[in-house]
Amino acid sequence: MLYLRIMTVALLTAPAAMAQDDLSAMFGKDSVRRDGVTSTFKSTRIINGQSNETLAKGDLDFRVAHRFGDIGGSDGGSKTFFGMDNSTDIRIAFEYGITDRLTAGISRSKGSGSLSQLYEVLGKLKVLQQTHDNRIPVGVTLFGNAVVTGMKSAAEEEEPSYFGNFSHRMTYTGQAIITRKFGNALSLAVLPTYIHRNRVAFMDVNDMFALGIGGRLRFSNRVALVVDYFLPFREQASKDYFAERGVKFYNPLGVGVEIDTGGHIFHLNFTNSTAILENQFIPETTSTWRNGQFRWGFNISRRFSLAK
Amino acid sequence: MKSILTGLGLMLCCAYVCSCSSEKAPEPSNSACDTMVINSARIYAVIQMNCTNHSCHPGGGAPVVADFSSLAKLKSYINANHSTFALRVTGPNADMPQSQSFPALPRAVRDSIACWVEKGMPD
Repeated sequence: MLYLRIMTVALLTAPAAMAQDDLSAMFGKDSVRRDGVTSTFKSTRIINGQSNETLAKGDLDFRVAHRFGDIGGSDGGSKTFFGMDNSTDIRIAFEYGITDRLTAGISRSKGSGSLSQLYEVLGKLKVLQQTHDNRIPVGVTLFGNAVVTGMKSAAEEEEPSYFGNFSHRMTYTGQAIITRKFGNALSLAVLPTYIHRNRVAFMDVNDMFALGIGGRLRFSNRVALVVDYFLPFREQASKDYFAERGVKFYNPLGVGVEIDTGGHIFHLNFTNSTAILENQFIPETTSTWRNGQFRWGFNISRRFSLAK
Repeated sequence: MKSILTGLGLMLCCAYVCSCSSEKAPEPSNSACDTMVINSARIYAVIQMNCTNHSCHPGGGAPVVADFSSLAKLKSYINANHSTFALRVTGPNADMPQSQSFPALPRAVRDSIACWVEKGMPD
């Protein structure tokens, strides 16, 4: 009888024990997180280029970006305190998170290049978010802006800053930001970019494609190395024409340190591009690292939560 | 809220497309530098009006690197920084004078300055 009871108890508890095993196995499988990868980059900019990050719903981001003069070369050195006496571009922006995936913003830049006094309207939409289980292996964010210059028109039609009508003042950027975060330390981005400028100088190009790459390597919870580089595709005839006139175009390269101070994301960076907006630094960079024509710059971001 | 955002998005897209155009500036006319007679006084008057009158290149203040407070200093700068001067003052995408509501130099003026430099900055 005792044997029968033991057998009964064993038979009744066996499925439960087996079920426990199965549950453990299932737990093991489900330990792979299925949620979205966050903080691929800490800021909405890598250095010059955009990152995949958008603002959280209701967040207002106040941004200040500054690029100083050449550190070396004929315009740099100790006489300008390594470029700090000059500023090539300054941008002040307000960006707002309409939803967690959609950011809109406005900005004013000094401008550097053939156009100055730039007013920008921008939008950024997170289309795909990378997931931890690799169901979605990359994040995709779309960025677009429209920029208008408020500068006075040049008197001569040969100038790129001659504005026969309002549309001549406009330039645009369209960009896809494809990103992947590898573990906690490394994030990479590829940025196929299209720039359209309504009016350009003779032999310059209205439409320009460029390919950007960027990355972030985290050293600690607060400090990371950030890099971005753009390869603009300019027609050879255009390059030759400008080269004959002493103007050579270079590819923008930015290298910097990103510091998360808690409320601020602070970028200390070095770049050869003088301009801050894509509409200018991609098609119009004429300064090169080799001649000491790189500069110190910073991006400061301060976020305010306006959501209740 | 969604319909407002959709409407706003559509309006922006329409404005984006409608305001798009593609135009290139005409080829700059080849001013005959060989026959042009330009003296230093004329060029320096242009420099004073556009570069030093706004306290930008007088020396002593920022930016100190390009000091145009006298004709001799202007010539000295150009001799030492020929390519930078060409790029930023007389080239096709010249960006001087910068911002602050100063008008861009007309092409004819840029050509005259380039011609003066090319001829060795005669007095």
